[in-house]
Amino acid sequence: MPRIDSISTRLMSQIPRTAIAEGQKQLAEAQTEAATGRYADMGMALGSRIGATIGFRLRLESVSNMLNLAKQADLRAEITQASLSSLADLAKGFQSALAGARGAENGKSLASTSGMLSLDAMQSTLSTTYDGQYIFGGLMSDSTPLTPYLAGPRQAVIGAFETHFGFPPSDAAAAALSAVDIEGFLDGAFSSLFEDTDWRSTWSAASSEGMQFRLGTGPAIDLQTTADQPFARALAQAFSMVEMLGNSSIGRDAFQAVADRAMARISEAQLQIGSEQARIGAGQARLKLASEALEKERTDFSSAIRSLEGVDAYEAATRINVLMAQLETSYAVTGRINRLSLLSYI
Amino acid sequence: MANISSALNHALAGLSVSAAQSAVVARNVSNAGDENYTRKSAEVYTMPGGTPMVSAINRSTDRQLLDKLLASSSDAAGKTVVLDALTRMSSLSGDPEDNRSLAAGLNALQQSLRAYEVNPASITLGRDALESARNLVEKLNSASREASLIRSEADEAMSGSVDRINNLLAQFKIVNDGVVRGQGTASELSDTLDQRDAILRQLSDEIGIRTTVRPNNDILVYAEGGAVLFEGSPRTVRFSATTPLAPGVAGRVVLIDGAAVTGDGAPMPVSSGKLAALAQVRDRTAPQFSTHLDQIAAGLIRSFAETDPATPPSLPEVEGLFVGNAGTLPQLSNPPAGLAGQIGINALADPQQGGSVLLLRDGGFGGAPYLRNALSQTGYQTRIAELADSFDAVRSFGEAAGIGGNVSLKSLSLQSSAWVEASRQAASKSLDLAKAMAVRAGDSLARVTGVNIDQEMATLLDLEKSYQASSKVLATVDAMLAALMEAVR
Repeated sequence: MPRIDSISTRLMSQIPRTAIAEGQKQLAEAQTEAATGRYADMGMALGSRIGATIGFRLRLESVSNMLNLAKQADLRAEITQASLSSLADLAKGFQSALAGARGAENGKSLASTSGMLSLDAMQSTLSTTYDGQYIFGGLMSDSTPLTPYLAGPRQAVIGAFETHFGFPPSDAAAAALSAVDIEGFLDGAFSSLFEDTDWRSTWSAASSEGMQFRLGTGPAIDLQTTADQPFARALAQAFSMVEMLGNSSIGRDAFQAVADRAMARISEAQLQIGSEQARIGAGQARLKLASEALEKERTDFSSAIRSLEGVDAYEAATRINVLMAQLETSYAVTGRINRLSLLSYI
Repeated sequence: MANISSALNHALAGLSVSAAQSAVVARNVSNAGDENYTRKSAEVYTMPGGTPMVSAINRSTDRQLLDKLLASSSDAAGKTVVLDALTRMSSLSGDPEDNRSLAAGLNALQQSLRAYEVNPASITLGRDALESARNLVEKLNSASREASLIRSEADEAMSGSVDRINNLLAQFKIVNDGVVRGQGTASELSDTLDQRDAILRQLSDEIGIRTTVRPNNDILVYAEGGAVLFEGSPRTVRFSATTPLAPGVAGRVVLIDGAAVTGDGAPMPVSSGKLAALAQVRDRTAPQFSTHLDQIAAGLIRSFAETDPATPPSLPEVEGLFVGNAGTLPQLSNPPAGLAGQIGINALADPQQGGSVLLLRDGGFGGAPYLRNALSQTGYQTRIAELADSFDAVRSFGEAAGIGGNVSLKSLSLQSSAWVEASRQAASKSLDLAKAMAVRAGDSLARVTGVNIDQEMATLLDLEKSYQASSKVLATVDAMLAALMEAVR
């Protein structure tokens, strides 16, 4: 009997079975993909491009981190700006108080009190903290940027007077000092108290350089100033000379010379504060630009990730329909094939 | 001269042929579900004088299709092994969304350093950075463990595979001897032949084989590559697993009859089947992945190493936050094998081990001369900034492990992920192909060898008819003889 090319019964029942298993696997994948909009097995779908998508995700994370840090840095810069503004106000207030006191009868002691109060206010403004750190401390963010006046600087100021003239400011002999004498002292021994060495040992622990802020590996953005900068020295100089000499026995002419010197220092300080504010403002503007660029990058990266990892949800849904139809057919075929047997007819 | 008794003889012979044929049908039907069973058919021979008899039981088979099936199924079996290993490597990182990759670990550390850089006075941020470093180290350690586990499991599995090959060859000898000697009845012999093919199919899962049939139906089995596995008697396949299989230590090669069939420079290399694939995983895939991890570990140790800040520097570079086991700074292009499993956090910086996080900011892991923040400024940013930037600094990693070149540490780890997934994708594609080939070969073979129950039933109907006819002849002859007897009486 010649053999008719036939299919084996085992194979016939096996083929729809393997088709069903394969179909079910694909259906599960398609369901995941339709639900998440992403490939079910990312590595299998992307192959070597997985490096790119992980890279984008990491960049995205870095960008978010940087934006977060930039926000904090900006906040910190805002606080610095506000503190500088209040120092400027302080200078202005002192200026007008001094202008009034200069010619007044009891001007000396009024001015002295105003100097003392201003020093206090300055000390507390420069002690502003952010996140537990002194903003004006520079790298020495854990030490008070300006030593309280009564805790050292005052003795140093009085000491300088004594060393220069040979008697304390309260001594009656001071009354005899001329304006020229006083000017000589103020421009010499007194002003050297505010040079680097004395200033740093007596007045301030702040470092000259401020902390840097960088966005990622980018260049540093200048957002900080410290109590070591000229504006703080000029203010302290003006306030303390008026406080100390206003409280001394010097004569009216001499005191007017003091007031003039203090006025000059204050004007200098105001200019310096202005330029610090402008500098920080420029930094903030740069930070804002950089942040905007980062925001843009964030959007770009997100869409790059979506285009790499994403599947067309409609396509996945269509695939589900096709697969379900296929599976249903397979089930039907399996059932019918199993019923299809010559045995049923003999 | 035909007579009535010859009619009786013919009818009797017809009955016995029908019975023998139905026995064959019954065997076919009862074995229809066995994939190794080949359809049998009774060969009917009409003897001189016209009496039919069953002369032989034929097997429906096709040597060429079987060879094709053997080749494609070893291919598929081997590729499955490689894909499994790569899938294990891939599952270490998982979906990119899960952020579990090494690259993500590196990035996390870099980001916490950036935050620390902005506020170096914050101990909390320093600790955050340290914890990120600890997570990264754990990630590296566990990935390295997994890679070395994949490797030693492959080594063990090779030993299992070799045992199985030797067993199968021993069984093959018994069955083949039976075939050669032609023992037993025709139907027993055809079963033995089925059995022999089944052993070859099992053997081809383990190792790629080629067969040659010799005149007396003896089969010669070669391993792919030419080493003789069976020629009259089995040749010994030798292998012993290395326990423990430490990273960097080469596993042993598989010897067939004394000649190496795995490993570089094997004279008769085997390239398909589980055994070859396991050797590939053990000798190539897993070590390559391990080297990636070791290079990343070496890159980390180097990035965080400290140099003498004095000008000119007089002291050697020393380990910083990350330490290897040996205490020396590893080479980037050729790091010590298993470094990723040994890398740890320097105890000097680890509060859990009595260290201080501040070393991260101030430097000084190598002692006072290496201290960078000499003024103990709480806002000292320079060192942290250097560390944070070091992840993006381009270094020369060499290209020994299939990735690298002059890239940053972060890029290197991305390349490693890409390498794993690209290999997995390629392995999966070629496995799909091999599977399809194997299924096609299996189907083609099944078409020739398989049993179609409907066909058997139809045959049975035929047989029933001829049995009935022969019975009818018997009854008729009986009646004729009875009539004759009646007439004689």
